[in-house]
Amino acid sequence: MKQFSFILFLLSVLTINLKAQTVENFKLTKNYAGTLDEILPEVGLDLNVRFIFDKDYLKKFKTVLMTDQEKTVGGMLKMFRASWDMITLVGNDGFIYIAKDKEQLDQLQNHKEVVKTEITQYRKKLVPVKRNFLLSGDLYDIENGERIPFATIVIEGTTKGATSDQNGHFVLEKVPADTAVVVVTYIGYHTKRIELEPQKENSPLKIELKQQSVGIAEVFVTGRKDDKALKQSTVTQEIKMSPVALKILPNIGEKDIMRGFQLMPGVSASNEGSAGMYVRGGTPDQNLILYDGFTVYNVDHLYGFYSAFNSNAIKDVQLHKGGFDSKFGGRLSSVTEITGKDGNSKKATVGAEISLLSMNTYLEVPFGDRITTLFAFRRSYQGYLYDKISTLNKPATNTSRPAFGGGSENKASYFYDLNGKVTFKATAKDVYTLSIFNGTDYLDNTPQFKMPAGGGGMAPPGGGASMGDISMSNTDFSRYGNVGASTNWDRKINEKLTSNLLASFSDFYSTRDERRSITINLDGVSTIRKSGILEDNNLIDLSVKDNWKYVFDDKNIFEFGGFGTYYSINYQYQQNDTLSIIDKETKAAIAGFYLQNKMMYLNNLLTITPGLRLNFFSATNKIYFEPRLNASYILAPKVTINGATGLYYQFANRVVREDIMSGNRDFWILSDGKEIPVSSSVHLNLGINYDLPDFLYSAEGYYKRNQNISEYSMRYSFAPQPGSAVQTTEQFFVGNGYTMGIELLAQKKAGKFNGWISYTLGQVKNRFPTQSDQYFFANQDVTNELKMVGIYKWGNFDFSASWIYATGRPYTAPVGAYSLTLIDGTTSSYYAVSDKNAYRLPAYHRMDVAASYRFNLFKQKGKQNSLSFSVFNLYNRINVSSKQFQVVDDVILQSDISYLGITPNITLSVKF
Amino acid sequence: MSNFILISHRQRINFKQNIFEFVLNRLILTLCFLFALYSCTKDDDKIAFNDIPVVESYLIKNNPVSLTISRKTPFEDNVTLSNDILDQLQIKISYNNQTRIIPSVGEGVYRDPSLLPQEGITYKLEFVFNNQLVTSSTDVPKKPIGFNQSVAVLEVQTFDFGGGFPTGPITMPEPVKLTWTNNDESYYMVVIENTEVSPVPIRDFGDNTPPGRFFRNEPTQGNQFEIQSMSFQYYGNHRLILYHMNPEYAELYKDNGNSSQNLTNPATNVKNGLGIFTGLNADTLMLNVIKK
Repeated sequence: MKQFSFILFLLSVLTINLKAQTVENFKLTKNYAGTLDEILPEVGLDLNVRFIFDKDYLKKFKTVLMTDQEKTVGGMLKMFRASWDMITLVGNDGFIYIAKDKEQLDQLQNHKEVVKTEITQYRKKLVPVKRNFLLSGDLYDIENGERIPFATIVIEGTTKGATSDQNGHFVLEKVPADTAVVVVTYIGYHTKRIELEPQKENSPLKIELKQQSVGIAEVFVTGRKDDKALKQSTVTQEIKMSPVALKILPNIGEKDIMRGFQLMPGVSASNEGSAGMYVRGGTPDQNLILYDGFTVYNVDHLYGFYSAFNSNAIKDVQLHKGGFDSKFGGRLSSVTEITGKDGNSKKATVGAEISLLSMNTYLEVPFGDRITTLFAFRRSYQGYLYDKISTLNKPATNTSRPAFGGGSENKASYFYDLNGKVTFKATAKDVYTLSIFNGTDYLDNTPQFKMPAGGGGMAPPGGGASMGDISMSNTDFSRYGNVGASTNWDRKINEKLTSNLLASFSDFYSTRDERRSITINLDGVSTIRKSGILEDNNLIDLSVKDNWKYVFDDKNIFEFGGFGTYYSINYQYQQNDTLSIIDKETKAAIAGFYLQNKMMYLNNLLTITPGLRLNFFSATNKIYFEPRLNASYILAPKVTINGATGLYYQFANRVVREDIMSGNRDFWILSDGKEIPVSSSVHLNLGINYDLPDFLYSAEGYYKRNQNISEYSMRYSFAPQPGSAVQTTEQFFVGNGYTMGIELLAQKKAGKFNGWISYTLGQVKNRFPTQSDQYFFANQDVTNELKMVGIYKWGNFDFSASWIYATGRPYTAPVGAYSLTLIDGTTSSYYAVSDKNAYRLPAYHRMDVAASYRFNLFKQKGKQNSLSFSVFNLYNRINVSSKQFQVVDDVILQSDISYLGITPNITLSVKF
Repeated sequence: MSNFILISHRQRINFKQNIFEFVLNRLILTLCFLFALYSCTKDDDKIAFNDIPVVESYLIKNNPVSLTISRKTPFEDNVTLSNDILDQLQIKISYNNQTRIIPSVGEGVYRDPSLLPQEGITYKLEFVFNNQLVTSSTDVPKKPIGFNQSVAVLEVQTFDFGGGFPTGPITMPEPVKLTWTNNDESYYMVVIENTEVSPVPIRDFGDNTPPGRFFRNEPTQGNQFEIQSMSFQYYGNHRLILYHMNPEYAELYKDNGNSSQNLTNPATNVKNGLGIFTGLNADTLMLNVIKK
């Protein structure tokens, strides 16, 4: 039936469009007053149109129609819909149907006569006082007073809507009547309907939303889960996530926002070794990560197994998969926008979590009515999970260390992150925030050597052993992370004009110290000799952004702003005390402005947002223009199509330095316009969504053409004997590439059982002319990726399971090996290798399951505590991350380096 | 695959209400299932083995030309090799408008005792293998000039902690500094070779395999090298050979990776082949390492 009616509906929408416009455009010739059942026949007579309605129903509503307000029949109908519970339809027959709901509309259409219906419930018979007025408001969480950003606000029965800004503020222009119903939807929260009341000061409106404490499952995904939200969705191809919802999904020790996104189409899930996201064939460094406005350059914890974001400190995350707004720039692929929690404004709260990996605690304290604070801290401990993952990722051999006697390893490794935020609501119009984030990993593999008791050997280095006047110590540690802070001033100048001024700082650091120091004490003079390597990369980003938004009217929103970033990047690779193999210091600035104008046409069915971003990059002394265009069209009430295109530039790149001996290292460098050119990308995205009350189907396609992308290679040749220097060569390969794909999503949004299936068909190919004329599959190329997530709610239990399948990534392998005798008498083996990335690793797949139980402690309201049990890689699939080759006796041996096998985990989460 | 069934069983279908959704969802699940079946049966593609020869030849001033031709070891079994026989190739080296056919001496080695390479001459290699013309060319670089050492005798204390900690201070001698003239940033490498018949170790190697008699520095474009005293493993006479080399040889010392994440083709100056065909020139000094 539904299928049938759907097709009919589509047909009718398409065919009546012309007629509808003519009838709806009829101008009202005079003013009318009275109940609707009295007014409508009069209007009908005057304008020669026929209304079909249920008299009993319409006589409950009373109004005054004025030619200077409603103007046309269409305007009148719009006001009816906005003010009361009713739907209207201009039929194929030219009649205008006005009904309580869809059911009654069907009856009216079938009988074309007045139908008696039992009315059980209806809104008060209100007469609008104000028409076409401006309504503004602020959204809050009812429990903790947290401001709610990026929520959708619509006027029921119309296509009029808005999105709240990062402070939870929204503005709706030209609300048809002050009897309208405002509907607010936000992921992870109950949808709220607010019936406006005439004669009451409705604006600004304070709206409090309630968190969905239990049925989180059904709202996990997408900004388009509600069909009303869908109508307003003009931002194309974006995923929104509620960190609250994450806890019921399977995890390995931590609920992780990045891992959550990886279950969605277009975001690759097969790379366990990177918390960064591969969005639509882009690499993690092509994804801009903004945390409360500042850029985060490192998101990896523990070899990329976890992300550096503590989901207890995060309020909202949005991933713009492509074709993003002019407000964002500096990256080729995508944008992840993270908004930290402000902290509870109603009472002090303390929460704690413990899993097999880490301890996590957070504290939210309000000071008076105006200041809220939040502090969250997480630290890993060296338990079973930490050791398991770190053993998996530890390099097999470490030959760069000078050869000394044996010893045991003492690992004192950990990661931590902390988030802090202070929010000061100075006035009703000004909000100041200070946000701080620090995520750091410290990996220590410093060996502890034991002195041989009178035994032979030169053995003694380690930890600080001393032999008479010689003392030696070895270090082997890595420390990397990101610290960032932003201060933000939001000012609401008036209801139409808002501004936001942000000053931020971000510092990415990565140090590896793998040195041996020998202190020789001779005749009272001590000399220190150091050997080994010291590698250091440091990026400092100082930024200022000033964003402005002006709402002209409901069909025209103008945004503009200026930005400036100063970069200072240092990279140093030092060997044996003084020998600097690489010592680079680059400084550059980027400055510019952007503007974009969101315009709505065709009765709000069509939204077009053209934009422009202009950058000046000091390293190349050039100006870069980035035109952007975003559009969406509501094809039918449940069907929206969207599209976006634009040009994107990237000035800072993360390069991965291959290091077989001690694991790959990555660092950031700036484009110089010569050796490392500024890379660019053109996006073309197209999508269609069909959104039913219970199901969502979506299909999206993308094509990106990338220019001047670079790949970095730095190789070391290790001398066979200690004491000789390591030679380094750096090389940048520059080329072009493209990435394209189709993403399909079918999601069941409601019910006890819900979940989704997503499928991505993609291709990423690059070509580096200096290597070959042929396009080759990029390292991150994944042809097929299928992800299924199922969530089942049963009492206080949530069960979830996810299955991921992905085509193996491409790799290069030897096709043969040979050896040469060198002039120093040594024999060296070489591999003759296949074309670049000619082979594919075996397909990646795994299943994760989780069960969590919610319970109460300390007579709290709601079920705020939980105990979760999850199993990662349930059927213990051995997924291969890469292959290692070795020549032994003229035979090439191949070994697989695998990802994590079956791993159970348990998490306890308590809130006070 | 159990979650396919999980989802489909749980779907509560109300035919009256929802045939469209039902059909669509079934279709999606079926497609997923077929996809999973398809992906489980897919095989990896095999890459063809390209049989190209490996050349190894160092043209050293006044040393008879010698050349070794070999095949690379295939990674996969069952590869097809060309019909060429390694000892029956027609190896040509041409220089100064002359062409020589280098005779085979067996086991892939070709030698011409009468061909003695000279400085400043370009030598071109040419032969046919697997129906392809394999070519390469090189020059013999100039003999190093101004090769000097800071000391001719080096006194090194024995490191032997067998009897416990040493008493008194240990003296570490200054490194041996080698210098030469390098005005054109060309490549040089020093190879240090112990020439004793039965060399005496400086330190106790314990259970470890004794180190070799050779050690070297990395190819450098500089004009000096310091040999740290700790680099010496044995007492006795050492030859310090300074090679002046071409860039193609220096490239051989680069690591071409051993993981699928970083493998690249090794450097070669042989077209349609692999390996090295390069000219070298050397100068030698002597150093005696004695017990303190």
